[in-house]
Amino acid sequence: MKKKKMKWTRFDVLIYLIGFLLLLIVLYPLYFVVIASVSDPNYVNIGQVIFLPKGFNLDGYKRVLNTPEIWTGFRNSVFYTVAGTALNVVMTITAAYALSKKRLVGRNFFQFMIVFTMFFGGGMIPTYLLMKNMQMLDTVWVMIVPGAVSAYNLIVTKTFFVNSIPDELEEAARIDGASYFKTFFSIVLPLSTPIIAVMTLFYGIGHWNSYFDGMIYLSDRNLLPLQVILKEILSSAQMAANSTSMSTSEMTLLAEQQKIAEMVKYVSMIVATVPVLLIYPFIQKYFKKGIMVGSLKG
Amino acid sequence: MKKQQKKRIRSLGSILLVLAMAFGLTACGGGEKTSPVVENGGEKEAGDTTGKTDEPGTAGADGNFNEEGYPIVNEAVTVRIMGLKHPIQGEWKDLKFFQKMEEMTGISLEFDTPALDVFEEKKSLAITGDTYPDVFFGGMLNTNQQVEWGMTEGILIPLNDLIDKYAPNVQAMFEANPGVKASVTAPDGNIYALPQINAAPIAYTAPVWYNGSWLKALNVTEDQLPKDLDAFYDLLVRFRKEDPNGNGAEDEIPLSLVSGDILGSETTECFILPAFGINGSKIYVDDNGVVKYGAMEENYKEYLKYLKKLYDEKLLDNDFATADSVSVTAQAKDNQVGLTIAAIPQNMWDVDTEQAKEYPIIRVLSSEYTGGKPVCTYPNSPIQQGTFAITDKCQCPEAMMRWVDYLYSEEGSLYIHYGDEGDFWEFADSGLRKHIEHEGMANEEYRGGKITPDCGTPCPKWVRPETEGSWEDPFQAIRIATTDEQIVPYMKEVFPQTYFSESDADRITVIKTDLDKYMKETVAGFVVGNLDIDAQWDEFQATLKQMNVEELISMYQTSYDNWAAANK
Amino acid sequence: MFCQTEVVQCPSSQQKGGFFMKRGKKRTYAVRRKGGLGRRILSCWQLYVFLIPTLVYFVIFSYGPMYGVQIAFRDFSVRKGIWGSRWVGLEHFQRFFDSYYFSQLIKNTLHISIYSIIVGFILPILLALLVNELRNGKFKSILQTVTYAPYFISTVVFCGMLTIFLNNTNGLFNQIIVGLGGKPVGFLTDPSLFSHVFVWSGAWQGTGWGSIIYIAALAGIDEQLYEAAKIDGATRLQRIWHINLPHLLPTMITLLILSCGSLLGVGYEKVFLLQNSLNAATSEVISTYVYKAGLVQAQYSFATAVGLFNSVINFVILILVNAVAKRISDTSLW
Repeated sequence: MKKKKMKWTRFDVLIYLIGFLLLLIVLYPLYFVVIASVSDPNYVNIGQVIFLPKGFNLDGYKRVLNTPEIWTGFRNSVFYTVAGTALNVVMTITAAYALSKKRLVGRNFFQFMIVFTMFFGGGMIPTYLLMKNMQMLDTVWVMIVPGAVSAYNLIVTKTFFVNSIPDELEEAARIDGASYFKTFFSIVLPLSTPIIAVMTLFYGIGHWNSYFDGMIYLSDRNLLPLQVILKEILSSAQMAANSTSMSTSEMTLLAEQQKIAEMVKYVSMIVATVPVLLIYPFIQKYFKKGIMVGSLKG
Repeated sequence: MKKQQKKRIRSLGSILLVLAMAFGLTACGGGEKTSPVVENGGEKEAGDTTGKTDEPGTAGADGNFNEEGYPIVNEAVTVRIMGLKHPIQGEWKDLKFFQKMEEMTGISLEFDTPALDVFEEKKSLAITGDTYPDVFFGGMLNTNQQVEWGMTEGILIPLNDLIDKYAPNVQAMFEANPGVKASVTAPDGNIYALPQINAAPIAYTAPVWYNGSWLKALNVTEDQLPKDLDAFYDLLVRFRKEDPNGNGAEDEIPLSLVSGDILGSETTECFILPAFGINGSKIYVDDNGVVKYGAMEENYKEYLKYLKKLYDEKLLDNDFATADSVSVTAQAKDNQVGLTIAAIPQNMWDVDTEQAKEYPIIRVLSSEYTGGKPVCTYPNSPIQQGTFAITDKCQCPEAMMRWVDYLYSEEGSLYIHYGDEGDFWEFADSGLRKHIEHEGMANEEYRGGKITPDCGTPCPKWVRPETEGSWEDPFQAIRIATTDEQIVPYMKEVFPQTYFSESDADRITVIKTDLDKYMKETVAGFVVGNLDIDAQWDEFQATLKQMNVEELISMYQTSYDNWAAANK
Repeated sequence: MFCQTEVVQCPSSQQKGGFFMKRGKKRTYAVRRKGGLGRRILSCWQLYVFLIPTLVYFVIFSYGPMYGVQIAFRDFSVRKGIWGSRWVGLEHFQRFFDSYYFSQLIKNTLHISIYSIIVGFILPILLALLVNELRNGKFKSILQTVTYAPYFISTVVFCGMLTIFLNNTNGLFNQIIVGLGGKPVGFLTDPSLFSHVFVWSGAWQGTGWGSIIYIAALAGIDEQLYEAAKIDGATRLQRIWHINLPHLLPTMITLLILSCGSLLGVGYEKVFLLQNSLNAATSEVISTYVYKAGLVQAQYSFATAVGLFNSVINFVILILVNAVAKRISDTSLW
């Protein structure tokens, strides 16, 4: 749908002004992360890095990018994210579609049952035993299958279907004899690009950022995702919790490790985030207006 | 799908492995089995493995294990170990220490090395899921776990007989360090885990340093360093008022705590508080063997007032609550800090080794409360609990006992820390050790990354007091000398390492959850003036009692008495 | 009419309708009663094909391990396992209720939680509406990308930054305040400021991310509605009020219900990292308390008991809120 050149109203000016202000508020701390990543951590930590880097150096980047495990971690993370998200989206969209149909017998029961799992679970121990019994420990499956559907996302998607896909469109098709499968693929899916995009994003980011499962279920270091590797580099400003020795070498170790952790603190975050930010514009374009209902209806 | 099949094949493989182990194909045998039979019928694998080891398949029963000399086993044996991996370390299988040990002993190891963040969970899950290892190495088994998993559940096997038969070095360690054996012996008289011992005082005293450049600016010589509370206060005032960093601003922080917590800070807890005649804010044992709770002593009120005075006059870091070692390091590098804890001053202040010699260690303080006698305590213990334990899954406990015994020999304890000569270190002309520099890697990074897990992981070993001085490092020599001279004569132990019965341990946990929180917040509140020391003292005492502090004291007293009796 | 339609059907009725409109309630029941159960199930077998993998997933991975809840009622020992550990009934719950800090924990948790829910609910909607009013172009996509970026700053790093920015003596905020002639504010040490710091820093981090779902929903609005509204002479604000908001309403309500269901669920990590001995009086929440209790010694039973207590309360609240929502807005989770 082509737009005519619109005039700038006072309303436009106002919202652009607010938008610009917001941009500044959000941008500064992000900018800070970037300059902090190339500054001497000691200046950062006494509040002397404000507008420009101080004690400029790229040591943090060198160190992170030279960690050999970073690259296997990166590869693993990409795999877990892509495979996991694909499974997530397929299962979520299909199940949410089914739940969005009032004709589904037992619909309320199923929804209740799904919401219930958001509140009550067995906790870490029985879940671990389950993974063990399914022989998923230390395999790639443990990073993909156990999180196949999120109840929260399922509910959100269902809400979208109920509200954004006009039922009369489908009903018309069904009166013509189309099956649920057919209407799903020919009518619902094309209208669902925004929610698919959102779910891809939600799940994808979830996989990308997750580290706890990796830490608990994986012992094979070749399978660890990026975030676990980064967390290990970072989390170490403390010595082993009940390590009580204060010998010089222990404490020097502590100091060295603290230095490393401070050096890579901001860098590791940038390294983990840049890939995600690069992908966002591709997903964002599915949120744009005008590709929707109107065109189909018309 | 292919992957799944592969997985199935792999798991089939692991079943075969279990069977193989069960029928002793890899067994090293020798001697009677010390491991108790697992009672719990639910845990099949463990039951089976222990049950069937005496099958005829246990080939090398007499042949494979050597009671003396190396290798320890003639045919290769594989043992699964679990230990904490510090992030500075490389993968354990690549570390030279483990490779060398395998070469020497014939025992090859398989590793499971969770990170600190999840180590406790992984340990618990391994036991619940019956996937626990043959041996915990650097497994951080605290005394409660030793009691529960050793005494009650029989997962950890008793080591006493093994020590007597196969571990001369461990025996020597017990003899040379009285009190250690009592501290690692569970209430049933068994030892379930071996400790790390580091008997050099610098390993467990708190190194608190004065800023030497400030002392110089104020013309304070080492002999003039404060030796009592009043002089200490006076020096801090001068630090604050006389602009020792010479930048014209009153930005000096005379006393920095790195822990964000007064009770957790070594400077306050080990040096200032003892000068009030109290050896700890919480549980401590006095000279007569009576257990006390520091905050309930009358002098504690004076201690709080003293700290409040320091805080009000900005002598104590006014941001102490949000400070941590990262922020204090940054401030020290900017020359804003007068007194704080650090391994060596170079880690904290922006100085080199030569300049660091001018940074003296704190002198022990006294006051009228101690009758003019200087007293301090040390925050750590020479004993680190639970660094090595053998489980009932292990097929060759004797061999593993001999394996670990090497680390308690002088040679072994040096080896696990420093590795081979010519790699991390070499002998200097003086006959002492010195570093070999490695391009692009800090010393500890190289040591942990390439050589040994004894770099961040609490490993089993017995470090002789001399060892700390065997390094050619002028600063280390000074630190040892001043510690021996200035600290050691006046130091007292807060509370020895003791065991509690399982029910007491549970009860202590419950009491401490609230009590520790209350203490931390209330003491901070008193010091910054959110609470009034005089007006709210009685309320403070009443609340402590309400939180069952007296019950806590009596449980500690029982535990201490048992320990003292065993120590006789 | 076989099926109830909840969606926006006709622009004019929407515009006249208010915020909370009841739509087509009665028609639903007519459909329900038609045909036997078996036939009705059979008639939508394809939907079951869609649903069953997900149901199986929940049964295996959520309901399967649920027997672990009994850890709360037992003295869990890792060796004896879940079924073998000693049964102690409500002992762990009792310990929690008897804690000296119980009422303080509940109070702090509710305070922080309600505050975050309100702010975290409203801001993303406003941002989405704002972004929606911007014209498609560079600025719009930059604003979107930038506002969503803070979500990726890990909690540890984010709290580290906050500590630097909010430091009493050399933090950016206090440098500005002092520069303007004010007195330094103890953002992190004054107990009365903790919830503000927590909630507004959270808003900074999460608003852009939270707005994504609304932006996507707004993308689904039929352009014809706007055209029609324009012809009727509606102003921009009126269009937002009468078209955009009603369109977002079901999503808003769903998310609000869900967030009410996490009323006692303030996560531990961020609170823990911003906490210190001086602000603990307002910053200690249930999750941090349990976390710290676990630091003394792993206490699975106690943690599970407190978790279960939270879940029950949260679930009850969810059911209530859901029922209210169903009555007044026609949108609900089931």
